[in-house]
Amino acid sequence: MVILNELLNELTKLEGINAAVVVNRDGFMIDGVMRESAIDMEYMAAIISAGIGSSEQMARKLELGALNLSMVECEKGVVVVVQIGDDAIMAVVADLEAKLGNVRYQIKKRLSDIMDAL
Amino acid sequence: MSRSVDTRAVQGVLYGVYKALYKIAGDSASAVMRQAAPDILLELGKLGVSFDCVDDVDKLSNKIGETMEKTGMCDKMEMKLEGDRLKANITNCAFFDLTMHLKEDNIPPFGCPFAALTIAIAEKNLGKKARLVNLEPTPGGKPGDTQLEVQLF
Repeated sequence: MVILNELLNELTKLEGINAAVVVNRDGFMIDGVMRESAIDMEYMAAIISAGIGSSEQMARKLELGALNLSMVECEKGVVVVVQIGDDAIMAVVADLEAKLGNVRYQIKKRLSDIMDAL
Repeated sequence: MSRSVDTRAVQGVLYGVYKALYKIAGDSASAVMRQAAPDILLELGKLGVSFDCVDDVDKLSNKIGETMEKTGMCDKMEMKLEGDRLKANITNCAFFDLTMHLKEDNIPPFGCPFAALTIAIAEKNLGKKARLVNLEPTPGGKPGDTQLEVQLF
């Protein structure tokens, strides 16, 4: 069985990807790999969960169906957030220069393995 | 400043806050609520309620039960650990109507004060992660009697 940390590590080795973390709905950190570690991950886990929760509510209110992916584009980078199964959420932080299509592809390619590793 | 508050008014305020939070954060509202835990402990500390002595599940059960009873949040609270589940029987919970009102609106009880306190202490003093997995009226019990289940991991 592939270990979740290895899958996340693989992702962060890709060009432009700086962090990949998996959290659960209650805001717990399940696992994560990041190039910079001076981050309060428990707090980040809660923000990631709340962020996707708000996006889902927006999708529901606008009658857009289930949320597949949420993306936050900032001045210095991009955060891509995806739901994994019922209870887990993955957030990937990438440089602005990273090819977003490839980031999304690399995430989707690994979703099933990540779900199995949970 | 008035020191006595009608619990129905408190429940009305909490109902509004919890409903708004759920409307915005959806199923992730529990993640937001967990962030309140350290401040709840801090504020209780200012009222002279210290949980520093709690270093195992038995002490956790006793101290939470004692605190909830003394502050009038329930008549009695008894806890027992079954595997990784901390189960509590709450007699005459002061927030029962609030929980039921939220349930009628399909809003899960993520803001339960009993659960919030249990989770906060389990995480701070026992180094465990904890989450509310079930809260329901005690089968065959009186209105106000509630069963609470928190998972420790």
